[in-house]
Amino acid sequence: MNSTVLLFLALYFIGMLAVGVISMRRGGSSSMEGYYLSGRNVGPLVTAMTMQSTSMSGYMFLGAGSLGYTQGYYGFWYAAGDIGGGVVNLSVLGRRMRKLSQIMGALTSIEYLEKRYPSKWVRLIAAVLSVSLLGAYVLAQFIAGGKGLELVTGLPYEVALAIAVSVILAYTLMGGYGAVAYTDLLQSFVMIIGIVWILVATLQEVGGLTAANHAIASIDPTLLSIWGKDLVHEGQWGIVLGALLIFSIGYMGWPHVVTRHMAMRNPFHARRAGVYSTLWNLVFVSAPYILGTLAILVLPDLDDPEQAIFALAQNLLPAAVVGIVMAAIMAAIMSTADSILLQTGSIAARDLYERFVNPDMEEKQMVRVSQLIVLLLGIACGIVAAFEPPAIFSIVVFTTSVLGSAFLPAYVAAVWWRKANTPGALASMIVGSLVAFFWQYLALDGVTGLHPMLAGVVLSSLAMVVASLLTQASHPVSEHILKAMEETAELRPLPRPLKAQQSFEMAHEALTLKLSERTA
Amino acid sequence: MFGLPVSTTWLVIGVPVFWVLYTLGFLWVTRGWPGIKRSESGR
Repeated sequence: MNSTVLLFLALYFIGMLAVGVISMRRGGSSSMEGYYLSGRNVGPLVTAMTMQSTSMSGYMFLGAGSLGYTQGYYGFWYAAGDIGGGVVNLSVLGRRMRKLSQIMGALTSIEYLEKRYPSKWVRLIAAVLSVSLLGAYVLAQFIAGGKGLELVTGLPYEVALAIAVSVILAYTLMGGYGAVAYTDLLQSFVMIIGIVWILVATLQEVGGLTAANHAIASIDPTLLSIWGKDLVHEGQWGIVLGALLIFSIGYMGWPHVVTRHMAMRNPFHARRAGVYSTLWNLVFVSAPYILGTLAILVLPDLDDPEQAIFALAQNLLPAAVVGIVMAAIMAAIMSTADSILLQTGSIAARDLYERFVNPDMEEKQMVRVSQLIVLLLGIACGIVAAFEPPAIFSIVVFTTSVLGSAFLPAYVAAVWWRKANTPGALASMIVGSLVAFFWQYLALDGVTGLHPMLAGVVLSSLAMVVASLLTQASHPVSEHILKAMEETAELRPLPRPLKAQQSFEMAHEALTLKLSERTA
Repeated sequence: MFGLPVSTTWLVIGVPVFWVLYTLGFLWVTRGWPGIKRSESGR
């Protein structure tokens, strides 16, 4: 246990807790909009950084490095889509989703779906899918966090897990979305400093990129190919283009990522946030795959390829810097875990408990209930994580594909297609989740050469279009929703009548009353 | 380039360049968005 490394980790944890306290003092837990969306007051840099650090988990330090180490430059196919994921999300959804979510008064990305596609079934299906899959994802991130801390400190896994979970829970409970977003900002800086430091040290060690690539070629030239070691992936265009496409558009289907649009201070911040996302991704997404490949030269006999980047840091960097790198690895894990924990707890509280069990709570009570549910969820996941159930990772494999396939058409059509209606949304969610699940479960990607999420997104989009068009007459999109969508196209401040959340809800209630009077 | 085969160079250099161009394209398409100060009251 190196004391310098421990010192940096301790400083990092204290920093995160301090942000939690500051967020709480700034009203992070005094109102629902404050707790769920930081009062819709997040600037472009924080928006971009919370989006990116939430999206990029510990996988970037572990899995990405491992893929580069074992398959060489083939790993870059997986970076290729990721680099653009943030700017695609912000350019397609950003401004309009921010505006529409405010007009509709939605506080979670699931509530947003029900308000755009009015039906309790939309809310129920979306909430249950999200809570169960994201809950498993939280569990997996907690396990990664515990293992990461165990690795760097030598503490027993259970103790390391307890520390990591306690820190995450503390600042998330105190400051809600504000704490999560601002800790994500700091964590994104730590992540990029850590990865750049290792990259520079490694390039110096191997004598520059060109010399390194010549050396790798003399070991095994297929490692420089786009098809992997021994060209084992040659011709698998469906898989690699699927990965490229999916990782560039897939983030638009993740409820915990698209929430970031809803919390922006101003819809036009999407523009600058897009630039920050691309700049950060160019470095942070590319580096781990390249580092994994370069590690072949520096550490040719590694037992566990997932240790490639960590081992590079230990071998090449002074102890103080290794501490920063360890903090960066923890930052990558925690910045994903906190966002998903808060989102899962918020969805459970707002979209399940308040919506279906106890709708008449007062605002302050609702905040406390949300905090309680986040706490209980965090503790439950922490306890289960202590047992490291192996099944958890098989569930997580489904998470990204199923969520993305279920929700991507719904979120995109919500702001871009006036004919997208409730039956269309229901059809796309059900088709998308089932297709992605069974494609993965039955390993159909091996048979068809198509990525599960690619199949899921294509078929769920088709379902959205077909079902919406077939039911336009029986389930037209309501007038007040169409007006709200028109307003999102405008490049102006919200008109006074649309600013208040109540006007949207009353418009919908009035419509429901009118329809029931007609049929009575 | 950098001692890499042509196809790998396209992947490692070409794709990031594409995303830079996409981002620049986004900036160009949205060049008509009002400045933040003018729209600040539009929360």
